[in-house]
Amino acid sequence: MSPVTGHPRSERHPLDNLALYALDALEGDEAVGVEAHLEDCAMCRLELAIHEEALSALVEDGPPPEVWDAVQSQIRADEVVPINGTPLHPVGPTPAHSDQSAGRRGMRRRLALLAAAAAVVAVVGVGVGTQLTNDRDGSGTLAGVSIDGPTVAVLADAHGAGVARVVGNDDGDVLVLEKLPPLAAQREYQLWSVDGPRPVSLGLLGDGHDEVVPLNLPGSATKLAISDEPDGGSIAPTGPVVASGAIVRPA
Amino acid sequence: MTSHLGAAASASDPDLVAAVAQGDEQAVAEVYRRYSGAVWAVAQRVCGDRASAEDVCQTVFVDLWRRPERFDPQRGKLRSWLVAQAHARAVDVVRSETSRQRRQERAARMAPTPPPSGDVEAASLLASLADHVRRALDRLAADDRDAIVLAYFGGHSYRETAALLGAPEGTVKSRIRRGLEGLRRMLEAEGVTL
Repeated sequence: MSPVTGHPRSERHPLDNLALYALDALEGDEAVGVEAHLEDCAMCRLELAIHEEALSALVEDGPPPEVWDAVQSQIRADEVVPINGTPLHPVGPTPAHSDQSAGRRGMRRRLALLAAAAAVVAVVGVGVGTQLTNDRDGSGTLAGVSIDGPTVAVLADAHGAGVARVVGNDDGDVLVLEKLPPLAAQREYQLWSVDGPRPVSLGLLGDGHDEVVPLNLPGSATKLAISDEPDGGSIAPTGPVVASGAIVRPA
Repeated sequence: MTSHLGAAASASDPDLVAAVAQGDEQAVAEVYRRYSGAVWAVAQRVCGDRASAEDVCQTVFVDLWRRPERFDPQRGKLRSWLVAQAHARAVDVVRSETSRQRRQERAARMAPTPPPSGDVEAASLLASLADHVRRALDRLAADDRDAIVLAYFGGHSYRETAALLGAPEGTVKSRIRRGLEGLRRMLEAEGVTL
C-alpha cells in the first residue's frame, strides 16, 4: 500500500512512473502512458497531488521576483473590446500556435481540467478548420454528416438573419454554417462560448463556406458566438462578432 | 477591473482563483504576492539563469489568469500546483535543444576536464538549497536523495539521471519513488499537511 493514500500496489497502477511523472522526469510515451492512466484513476490523481505537495515543500518561499509589471501588462493586453457589453478575457483552450511555451507538458496540465470540467466551460471537440465541399444533396446529410436532428440554436447576424445553426443529432451536435459573409484574406471564423465573463474558444471554423462541423459542446455552453479573426485564431475575440445565438434544447 | 473580493489579502486560495476566473486583476495580484517567491525559486533553480526563470514565472501567472479552471482546489493546494506548473515549464526550458547546446558549450568552455559525475552535480545542487531543505533531503538514503535532486532540481529525465549516476534505469525509478515516499512520511511527521 502507498504510505499516504493507501493506494494498492497493483500492476494496474504505475506507481514508479507516477513518482517520476511528479518530478517531470518522464518523457515521451512513458509520460503519455501515465497521463492516460491518470485520466481514469482518481486514486493516482490524488497520489500525484500528494507527490506534488511533498516536492513543493522543497521549494523555499523567496521574495517575489520583479516581473509583476510584465505579468500585469500581459494581463491587460488580453482585455479586448466587449461583445454586447460583456467584458472579454481570454480563457480556455487556445489555438495551439499561441501556446508554444506549454511544450510537452501541456498534456499533463490538461489533466487538471478533468475535475473542473463539470463546473467550468472547458475543452470541446470542434473539428478545427474542417473544410467541406459544397455537396448538399437534399438527403439530410452534408458532406456525409447527418443534419437530420432538430435545430437547437440559430446563430443570427446583427440584422437578425440566421447565418448558422446547431443541429442536435442523436450522435452529437453539428454546427451548420450557411450564410456567413465572405472573409478577407488571411482571416477565418472562430467559435466561442460566451456564457461566462470570459469567452471560451471552441475552435476555428475556416472560411465558413457551407461547412458542417461536428461539435462536442460542454453542457454548460448555452450561448455561442462566431467572430472574424486572423488566420490561426485568437486567444480572445478580437474581430467583429458576425453571429450569435442561444442553445435551446427540446425538453 | 474592480476587485470582486472585498479584501483580497484575507481571501482563501480557492476564493482568489474563483475571483481570477471572474477577471479580477487584484485577485491574481494577490496570488502573485503569496506564491511568486516559490514559483520564482523553483524556476530559477531548474533553469539556472535569470532570463529563463523570468519567462517561466510570467508564463505561470499569465496562464493562471487565462485558464484559472485548470486549478482544482479539490486536488491540491494552490502553492504546490503553481510550483508544479513552474517546474514543468522550467524542465521544458532546460530540455529544449538550444538549451542543451548552450549548457554543453558552456561546460566545454569552463571545464577542460570531463563533465562532473552525477554525484558531484547532486552535491552541488544540494549545497545550493536552503538549509532546512538540505537537512530534510539529507535524512533520505544518499542514493535516493541524489536521484531526486538530479531529477527535480537538475531537471533531468530519469534516464539521464540513471546515466549520470551510472545506475540501471529501473534502480533509479525505484530510488526516486522510495525517496519521494520517504520525503512524504518525513513531512507528515513534521506536521505538514499533505
